[in-house]
Amino acid sequence: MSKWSLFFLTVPVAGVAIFAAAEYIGWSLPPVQSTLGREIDHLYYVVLAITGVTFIFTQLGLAFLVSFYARRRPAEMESANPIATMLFWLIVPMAGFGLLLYWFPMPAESRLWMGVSLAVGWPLVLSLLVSGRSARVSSTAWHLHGNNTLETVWTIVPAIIFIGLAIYQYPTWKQLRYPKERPVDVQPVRVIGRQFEWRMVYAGRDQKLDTADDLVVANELHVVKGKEAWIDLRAMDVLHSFFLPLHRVKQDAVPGLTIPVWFDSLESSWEFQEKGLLFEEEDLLDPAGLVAVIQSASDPASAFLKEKIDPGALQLRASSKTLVAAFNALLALDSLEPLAADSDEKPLPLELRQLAGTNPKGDRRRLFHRKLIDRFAGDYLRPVGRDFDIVCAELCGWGHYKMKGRLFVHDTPELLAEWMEATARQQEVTQ
Amino acid sequence: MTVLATGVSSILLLFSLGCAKQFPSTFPLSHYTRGQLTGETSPAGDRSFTLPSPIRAKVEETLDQAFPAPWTWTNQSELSVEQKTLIKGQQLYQQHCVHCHGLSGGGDGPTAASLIPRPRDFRRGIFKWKSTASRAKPTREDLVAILRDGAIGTSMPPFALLTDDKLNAMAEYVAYLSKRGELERQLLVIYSQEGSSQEELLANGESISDADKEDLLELIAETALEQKEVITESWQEAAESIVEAEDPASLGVPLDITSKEFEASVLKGRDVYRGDAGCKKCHGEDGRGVAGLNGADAVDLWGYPNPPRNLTLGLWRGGRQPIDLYRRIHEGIAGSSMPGQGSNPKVSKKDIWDLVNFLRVLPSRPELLSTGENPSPSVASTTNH
Repeated sequence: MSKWSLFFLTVPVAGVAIFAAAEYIGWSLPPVQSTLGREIDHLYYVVLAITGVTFIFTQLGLAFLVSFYARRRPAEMESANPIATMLFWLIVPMAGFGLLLYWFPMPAESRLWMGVSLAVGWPLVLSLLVSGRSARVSSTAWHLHGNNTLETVWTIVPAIIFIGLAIYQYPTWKQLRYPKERPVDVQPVRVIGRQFEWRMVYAGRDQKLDTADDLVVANELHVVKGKEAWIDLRAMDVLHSFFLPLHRVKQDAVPGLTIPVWFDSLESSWEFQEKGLLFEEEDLLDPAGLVAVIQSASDPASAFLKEKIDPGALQLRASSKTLVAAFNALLALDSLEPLAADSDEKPLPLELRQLAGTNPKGDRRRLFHRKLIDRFAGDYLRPVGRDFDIVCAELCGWGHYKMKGRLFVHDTPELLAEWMEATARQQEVTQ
Repeated sequence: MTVLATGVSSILLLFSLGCAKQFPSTFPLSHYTRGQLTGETSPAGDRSFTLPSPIRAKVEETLDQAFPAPWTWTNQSELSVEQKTLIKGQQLYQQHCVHCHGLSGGGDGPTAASLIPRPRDFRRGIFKWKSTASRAKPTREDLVAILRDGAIGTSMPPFALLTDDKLNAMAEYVAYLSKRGELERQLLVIYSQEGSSQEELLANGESISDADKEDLLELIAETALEQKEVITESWQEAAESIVEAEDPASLGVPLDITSKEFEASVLKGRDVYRGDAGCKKCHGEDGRGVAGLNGADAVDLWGYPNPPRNLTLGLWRGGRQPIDLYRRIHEGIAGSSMPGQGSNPKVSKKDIWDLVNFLRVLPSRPELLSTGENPSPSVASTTNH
């Protein structure tokens, strides 16, 4: 067993391990929010499956061959048949186990972990089995003529796969780049990238762009759920890349060009937020301030919390005086007593966060209930991050995150019109 | 193996040291030239100006007492609400603003030199984009508006996604930096008018006499107390200086572009542009700005190039609401050569509103100012609001 073969073995092992863990560490794709996005995701997974399987078997083969030749003296080289050996010992058993795994009914999670164990375990077992044999590498170089058949095979097979993929993805590409005509009732939004913002220009009341009543909004794009949104994409200064991660839209914005982009939205922002709002550490809050907010909360909030919280359980959670005061005020209770001295300022936000459930993925941020947010919205309690993002996928994307914007998907065209009217009024302020 | 071990351990060492920012214990004292302080340029050119060390120490100490650096306030329990806001503002400023506007708000952060126009220098207490009179301070709302919407046509991005309390904290800290900067400048001016700089003292082999020194130190302490009040008040009074505009409807000027009288208002505005308001002197017959102005018209108060705006681009840095344009025309732009029409007896309030309407349509209809012999190509299709 050569040291080098172990080294090459780590590559497929790490690849499979990362793939298996991706879902749990947030490296997989975020939930898709557009119809075309679904097709794009499907294509992505098809390509991932083809390349992933090829990659793993190639790396396993590489590790195997290194090990295979390391154990042979020069005289044995010509007569050895590594491909047959590899097929017999490595590929065929693994493919067999793999198929068995695929067909045998079992929970998805067991299948995943058994698959990972197989990919990691069998090559290891093999290496252990053969590692007892003596290894001696020849120090003399020797000539090996290439294998024309093999070369032809490894050229033609990928070529066929490429052409197949090209044909397979064409309908999606056509929809994306050469769609049917823009519906007559859809007014395009002009989106202009500049360092460092996205500037959205909507036609004003006259339904025309480039007039004095255009609506200009920085970093906020408003569209309607289930309806095609059309964008005329421009750039003012340098290349930008208009990127809606959840809608799987990514298009470069080029100075001097106007590039049409379209997408639709499966969910409205409101529905998206209903599923859970996220908090970040810094948005949580000063206990004193929160008490003030809660004390002024209206009755429905108390009712909501009463329904959600078992006061008995609440008592266990009340670890500071501030918290107790807050809950007493909120639930119109008199009896809640502090369980611990009011020494730490932190318990309140932590406790409050625990009231409304947690993020199933164990995210650093936690889910919070929409209704609770509504009741306690204010300087100290504020939802963040559960919007559809707009970012720039050029260099501006991460470091210059100021090019981050927000896509707002309205439930109905009427709500969008309402927003536009409000914006128009706001832009006509004369006092 | 040794090489590998050394490499790994030095990388670990770097990680353990980290890149923690080392803040100075106070705001660093700004560096001005004598010309920048006194406004006079000597034939020998503008000389650098360093305070002699006892004076410098006094100025630093006085400033630190008046406007201490928020990052030195560590005792949470003793802080007032205002101080907590400033701490929050300072942290956000450090995250979002400092790389252009600089640690003490001098518009001299690391990226400032590569920007055109330069980031605002808060230390003069002069702000261009505001709702208040030209000489007045901006209101907090004005600062928040610029933070939220950015200033198109400059490198100032919008921070629309930050929450209101964050924006307010940032505005509060900007005002704090501005107050400190203004006081600092005034203290430096006192000495620059009377005393010799460190360089001059060294060159002439002189030193400050004890009597002189005592006088100066006293003067600095007194002025600081006095001026801190004056500056703080000027910020508090900003809201009283908001420029109120008469309702255009009551003056018979429609703002609705679909109304019948709108076109007449636009044409009237064009007449004002060409005539009494004198806009074309700098902004040009075609609205694109006259190139090659010199003297005070060519640079702003901070000494940077400040050409007249190309009005056909529709890039209104200080906001594009009609009221923003009205205030810009009425008050002019502080720190620049743009005069206010509010004091021009030939231009009425109605004229200003007509001019506003004219400017609103000009980007999409630059032909309104075409001069005939040299027709402007239409830029309507390339307008970038």
